[in-house]
Amino acid sequence: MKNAINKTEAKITKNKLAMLLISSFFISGAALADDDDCTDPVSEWQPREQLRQIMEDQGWKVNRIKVDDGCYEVKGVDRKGNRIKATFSPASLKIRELKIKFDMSGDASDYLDLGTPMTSMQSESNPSQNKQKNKPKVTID
Amino acid sequence: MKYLTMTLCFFCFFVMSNQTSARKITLTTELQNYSGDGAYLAIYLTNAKGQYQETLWIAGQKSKYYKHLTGWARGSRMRTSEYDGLTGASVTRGKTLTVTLDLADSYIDSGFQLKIDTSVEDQRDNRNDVVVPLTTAGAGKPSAGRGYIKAFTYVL
Repeated sequence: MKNAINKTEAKITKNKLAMLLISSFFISGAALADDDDCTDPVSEWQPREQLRQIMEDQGWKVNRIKVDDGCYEVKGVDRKGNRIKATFSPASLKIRELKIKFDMSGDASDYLDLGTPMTSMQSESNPSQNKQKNKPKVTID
Repeated sequence: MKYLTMTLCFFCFFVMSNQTSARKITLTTELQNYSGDGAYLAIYLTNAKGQYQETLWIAGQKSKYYKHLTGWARGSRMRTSEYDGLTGASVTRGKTLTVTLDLADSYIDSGFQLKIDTSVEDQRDNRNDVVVPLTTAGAGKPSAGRGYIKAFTYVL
């Protein structure tokens, strides 16, 4: 009788262990699903060629476009020769992440306007600093 | 009352000084009737030594072709900050591009030059298609271009 009770207790603890293992697996799985993933429905995805065209219009050279975590991941070189890695939403083609390696030049003028605080301090005597940024009126007849 | 007069004086001075610092300029560029696609144009200012100062207008929207506007590309180093908000459509043959903008007074009659570089797909690039000194005397007088430009006139 006592043996039978011991056996059922052992069975219950085994079942509990298995349940615990399975539930921990699901929890860790949930934790691995990152916030950075793209969740656009596949039916709304834009073609890769369109993204390539957008990048090339910016003067970037595209080496590779792959799908990672539901997003388009682009590797290439910007127009100044810096290596870039960018992530885009596949439906809207909006940029979500951008990594740039400024290897040689260290010229970040395309991305950061580092000269801004200085120009506001320049005197008006130098006309080149006195730039007119009003939008011109343009017609083609 | 005294304060009011002084404030008004300051206000008037401020408004007047602002008005005199910039002047409206209209740049009219007429293209030749060449055979080919729409032309890309870079209209920019250089000093008397030919050093790049400022971009006035870029006709042509694809930045990957801007390197063909060679003089401008070298001067501006094709920085987006140089041409942000100053780009538009390319100009087809026989058409006239008219650009009206505010220009700092200090550029006029001070030895600065207006330059235009042009380029057409699969055809030659023209650095300095037009080069004219920016003077009040030269305003309204048409200048002939060397490449795709038939005539260029600026009016102050």
